[in-house]
Amino acid sequence: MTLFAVDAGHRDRHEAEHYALELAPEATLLCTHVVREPSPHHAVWFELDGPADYAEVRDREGGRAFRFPGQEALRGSLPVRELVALSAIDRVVGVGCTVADDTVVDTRDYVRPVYADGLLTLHVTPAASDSVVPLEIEGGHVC
Amino acid sequence: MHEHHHHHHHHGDTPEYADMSVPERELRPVDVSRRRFLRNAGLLGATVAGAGALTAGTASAAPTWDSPGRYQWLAGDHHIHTQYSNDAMYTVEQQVAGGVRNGLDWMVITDHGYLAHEKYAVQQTYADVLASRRNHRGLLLWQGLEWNTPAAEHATVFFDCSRDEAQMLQTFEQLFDGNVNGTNPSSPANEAIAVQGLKWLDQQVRAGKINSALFLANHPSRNGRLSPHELRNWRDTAPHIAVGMEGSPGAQADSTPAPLGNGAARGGYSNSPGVDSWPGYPLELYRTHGGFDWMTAKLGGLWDSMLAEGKGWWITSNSDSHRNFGDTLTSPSPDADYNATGKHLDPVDSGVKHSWADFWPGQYSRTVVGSTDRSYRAVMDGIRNGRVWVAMGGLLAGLEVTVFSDEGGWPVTLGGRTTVRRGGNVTVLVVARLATRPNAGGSVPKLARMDLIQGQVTGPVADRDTFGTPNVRVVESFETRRGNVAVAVFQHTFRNVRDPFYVRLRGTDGNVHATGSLEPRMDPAGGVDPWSDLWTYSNPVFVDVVR
Repeated sequence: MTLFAVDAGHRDRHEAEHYALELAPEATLLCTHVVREPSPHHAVWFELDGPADYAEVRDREGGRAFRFPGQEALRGSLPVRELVALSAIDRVVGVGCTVADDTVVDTRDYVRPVYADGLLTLHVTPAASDSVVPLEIEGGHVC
Repeated sequence: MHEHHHHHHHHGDTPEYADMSVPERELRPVDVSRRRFLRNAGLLGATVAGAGALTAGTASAAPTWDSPGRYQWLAGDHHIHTQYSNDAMYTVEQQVAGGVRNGLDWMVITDHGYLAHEKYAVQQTYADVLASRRNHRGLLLWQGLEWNTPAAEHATVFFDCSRDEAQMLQTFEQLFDGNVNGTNPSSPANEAIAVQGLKWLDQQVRAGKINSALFLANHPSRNGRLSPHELRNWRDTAPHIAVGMEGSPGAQADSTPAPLGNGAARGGYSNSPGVDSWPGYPLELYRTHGGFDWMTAKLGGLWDSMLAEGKGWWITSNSDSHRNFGDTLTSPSPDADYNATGKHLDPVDSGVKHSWADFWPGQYSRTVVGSTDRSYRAVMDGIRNGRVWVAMGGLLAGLEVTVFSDEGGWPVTLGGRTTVRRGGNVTVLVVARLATRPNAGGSVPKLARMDLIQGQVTGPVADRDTFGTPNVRVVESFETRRGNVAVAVFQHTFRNVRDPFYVRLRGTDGNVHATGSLEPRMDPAGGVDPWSDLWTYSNPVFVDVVR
């Protein structure tokens, strides 16, 4: 498996994701990645079998996975231990809270981990009901 | 082309301390003393009278006293949307009446910069603003703009009233708005355009085209895109215009638990790093803390790191009202095409209470400004000089802060600057007037504690992206007595002062804290009753030390 990057200069992340899915519908790992120069935009990368006519990705740091192995198993609420066991996510990191193996993550059926310190990391924040939720929320308003 | 009869300029031959267009916070301590000497001798008063509204402090009758009692403390909101915003719905009069109902003395209408807004809405809004001014005598009502600051966040911009205020606003929007000109993406080039916009405002003031202008960054952390160096660049480009930021964002009802509310994020802060976000920030920044923006709420965080430079940077608190929680009004269907008219049709009564995210102006968040009188100029001067405290949910009815040194000089209040000889003492006297009547949430809020926060002034930062400073701490926490006291009085003396510092205050109803600390908690996702966790913050007072 090799990671390939394509930069088509998308300002809109949603459009970048669709673009990547069209290029590599069979990939099981697809990421967006913010590129700040010359003007901020999203590049995409994806994992493919064998050679392809794209640049290879050398550094995953900062990439945000919108599709990854085991993602479909991460629905509803489940403990950190299970979340890590069922998917490619390496670790869960609390933001404004601490998490343990048995901390319950309410996935809200939307999980988008990022590569941080070389690990596929899900950042979570406190939630009202003693659980935690992913930092990235579906449809967060960005205007 | 010399048509300016007002002498707004900083005259080359006038020393800075005698030029009242240079705010006191820009002066060296020794020059502050000089200015005060002149003022008290009545010498500067004569200059002030003709100096226009750049003046820091207005009194032509030479003030000798800067205690809180000198001022009327006027409550307001500088972030309000109407049907002239692409994403809002109320008429100007509905918002103004709502603010008046909730006890506000002043308001700034700030519809979004937008192509159709610039083309069609500015002049229509102005007609409505003039009508509302006639309807509400005594109310101070500005028409401002929510400027899409190039490369950055939204910001309130407004001018002191003059004949051409709407025209000047429209010109500014046309020239510098990020939506209008496509300059929103974060980039060094667009950052430079934002700075040009502030310089342009400064030029208009100096040329007498507008009497004065203010700029305040709104919901600064919402998208993590407002970098520390941008804040510092704005402050240093136009220190009498770019004076601060929202300490707490609007949209405080967004976290109201379902089914009554959205059960979403307090302040609407539900984002994560995006394409324009500054990569240096910790992820905590993307959520509110006790309803306040991380830049303000974080002890020793970004705000403190700016104050540690010894320069003023002030916080405010507003509604950002677009659609108000529990209101039955809604946009009519079908609505007019905003893009063709710059205006939404008047809202209609649906008969159903909606779980909107915002509060009415003044209903929850207030910015209280010490003003020499009830005038446009005095409120703007009060904001410019940081004579401001903010509170949620009516947690405080009044806050009077007096700081004096044993030099025997005159006391100062919020936003002020006093001087002490090295080794001398400085006393902070706080009179907190507690709530005695129910707030709009239906209960009488109880102030449980006030924290007196001290930060060391360490001078300009080497790295303009600095967002923390280590030398900030709560020096004393004052608990209020139980029972129905109307006033709580606190006092603290800093003895043997060696180095310059500032003090600021933070108060809470004491209901919610971060685990095991006095600090506000990161607001959790999925439902927080905004009335259950109330905070109040003051702006700082600076203490300079002379040998």
